[in-house]
Amino acid sequence: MTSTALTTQARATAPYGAREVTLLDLLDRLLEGGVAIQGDITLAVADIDLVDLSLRIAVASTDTLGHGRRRKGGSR
Amino acid sequence: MSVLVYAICESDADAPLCRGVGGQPLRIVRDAGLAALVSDAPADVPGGGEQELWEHEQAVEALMAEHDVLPARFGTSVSGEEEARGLLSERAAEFRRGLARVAGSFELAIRASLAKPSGSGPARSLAESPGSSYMHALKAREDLAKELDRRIALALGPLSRASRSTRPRGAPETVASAHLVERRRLGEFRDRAAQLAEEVDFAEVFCTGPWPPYSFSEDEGAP
Repeated sequence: MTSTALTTQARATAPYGAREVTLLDLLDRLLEGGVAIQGDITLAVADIDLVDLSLRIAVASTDTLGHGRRRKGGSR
Repeated sequence: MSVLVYAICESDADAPLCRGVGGQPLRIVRDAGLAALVSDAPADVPGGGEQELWEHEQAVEALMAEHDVLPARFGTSVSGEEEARGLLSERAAEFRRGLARVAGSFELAIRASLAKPSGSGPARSLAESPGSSYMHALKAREDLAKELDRRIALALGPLSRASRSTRPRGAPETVASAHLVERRRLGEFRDRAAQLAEEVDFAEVFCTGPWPPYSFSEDEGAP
């Protein structure tokens, strides 16, 4: 499993929207959604929470999220 | 050998050919007319997390290409195939309700962030104390977030079988919602979301998906 393949996968699931937004949506879904199963937590969720947090901060601090799609006001 | 659970679906499903988390082969476990997509739990998962998340997602999406699925929350393992079969039989009624709820539908995610406050107005009125001014600014931002929620529900609610609005952790200026959308309405939904992004000039609006129905897998998510 190469990281190239995963990048391709990330693009495949994001018809449009920034890659960072896709990753945030992925995090919200996989960590908080889905069928909750009683069992052992075997994967490093603590590490993922850190990724989660740093990404949220990164997104919150960029008001255009890296692309200039936002319309300037005055149309309404 | 403990096994990771990726998703629940009807028992006629075969395991997708792609690999699961840590490169583990996927397989299907069946009971009570249902199937669970599982793999061996990887013995040694390196830190980081993003790669493992995508590996989980890829496995669920491969199954979703052919079947209605209830995706499992990430990272939970059960003690073995026997326990996975027990899970299917014990919660069969719940899983059938869930599969009926999401049949033929996908999840679309809307995430909208308020634009930074414009610098054109006075930083604060001289008549107001800094504390009061701050509270007014905060109230204005909350009103904007509510307006954003309302606009999203108005535009996209009619195209969704079910919708859930959430405020993501640690991001008070972001509105996020999940929408359960029928396959035949995916294009219409995305077009409407793009139109909304153009109409709303006080926020950035993004739409991602189609995702497996993570936000509609459990009963409390039912409309």
